[in-house]
Amino acid sequence: MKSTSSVISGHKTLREIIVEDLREAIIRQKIRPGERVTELEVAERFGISRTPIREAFRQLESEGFLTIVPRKGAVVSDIEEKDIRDFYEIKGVLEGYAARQAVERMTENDIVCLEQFNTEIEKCARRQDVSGMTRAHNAFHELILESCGNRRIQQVVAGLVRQFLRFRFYVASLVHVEDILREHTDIVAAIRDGDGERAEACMKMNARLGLEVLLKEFAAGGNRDDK
Amino acid sequence: MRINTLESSIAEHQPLPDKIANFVREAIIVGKLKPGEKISEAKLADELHISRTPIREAIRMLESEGFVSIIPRRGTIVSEFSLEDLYEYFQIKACLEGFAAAGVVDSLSERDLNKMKKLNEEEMAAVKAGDFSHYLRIHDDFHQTFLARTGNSKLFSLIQHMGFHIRRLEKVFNDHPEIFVTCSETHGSLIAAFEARDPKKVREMVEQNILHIAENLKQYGVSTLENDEV
Repeated sequence: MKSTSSVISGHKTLREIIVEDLREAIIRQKIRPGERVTELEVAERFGISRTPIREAFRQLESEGFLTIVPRKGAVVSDIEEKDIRDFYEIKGVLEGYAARQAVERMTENDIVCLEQFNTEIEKCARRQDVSGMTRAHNAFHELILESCGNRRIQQVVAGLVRQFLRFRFYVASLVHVEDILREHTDIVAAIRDGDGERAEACMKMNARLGLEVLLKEFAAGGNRDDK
Repeated sequence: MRINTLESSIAEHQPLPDKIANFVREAIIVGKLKPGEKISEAKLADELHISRTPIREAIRMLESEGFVSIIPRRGTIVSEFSLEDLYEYFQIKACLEGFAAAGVVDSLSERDLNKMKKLNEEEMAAVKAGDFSHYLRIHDDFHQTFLARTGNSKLFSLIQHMGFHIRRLEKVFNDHPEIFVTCSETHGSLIAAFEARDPKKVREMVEQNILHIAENLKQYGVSTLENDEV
């Protein structure tokens, strides 16, 4: 998903810089769930006024990273296992539906693209390039969403992912790359065979894998720094 | 503490941008803000007595939901919508709601089922009496009854959101009640499938029910929508 403003302006606004900094700190659990984040502290750290900070807090609130409590200020939101399960359930349903519909619409060219994304994932994994891998991984899923004949699905999934950005860091785990590739290959095979039902089932299975990976990382939680 | 109309009318715990988004979204749905109309941050800030920061965030939310478009150098405008777009929302709603319905098959209580039966009877009566705005409301209650049992609150709110888009067509529905009327019959068989605790059947029926409305809409709705927009 692209942030429109950063794409248009090319350079980052103060708000964006703060958002990215705090988001990263929360994802990496440098600031922990329940911990307070104050405007004053951030203002001092960046040496700026409080207005863009307030804006940044609001954005992080709508993305689910912060909870703004009246009279208490901003605290890092809790993640509950149930939120993760709920998210993947919906993702599986929508992507599964998209895969089923895409079977009818994808050209040989599209299918070759899917295979190339898989090759790219493999290559990136070999050189430990997590962000490259994430990009190829997202491109694979996006192409299927784009090809399902319903432009709105992509928008809905993007909106959903935006609220769960916090989980994304965990997903691009190099440890599970073999499982991911195996499942992606199954999805491509089902699409090539024109088997919509199987494509849907494989896609749902892929969402379940995402869930399992994330839950495992989630359970490991505090020990991330040791790895 | 200052209380204004917006804050007092909507749930307390929601973040401010969410409240504003709800407020603006509703204005778009009921047509107070028309497709193509400009939304001015400054005007909203004035009207609601709040700063522009949460408004900007609310507008970003509405953009990602598809209710407004942000156009460089022109600002924010209410999105146009075509029948094609709405058909896509129907498809997504069918897919999500079918899944949700299948998931609650075992958790529906006797009371829920009785409520659905009663609502279904009311639907039939409303159709007979020709009271379609009442019919639409009961129709909605019927769906809410089983959807409320889903344990996935995010799924529930996503289905609501698809419904918001569909509600932009309320006028078409009022002019063409026949689009919905067949639903009262399907609802009867849906209750039976729920009673048989048959998730596959329930899913199929809910999906078909919603897609059927979409198909009818294509048939009946085109002229109305086009007339409205000219």
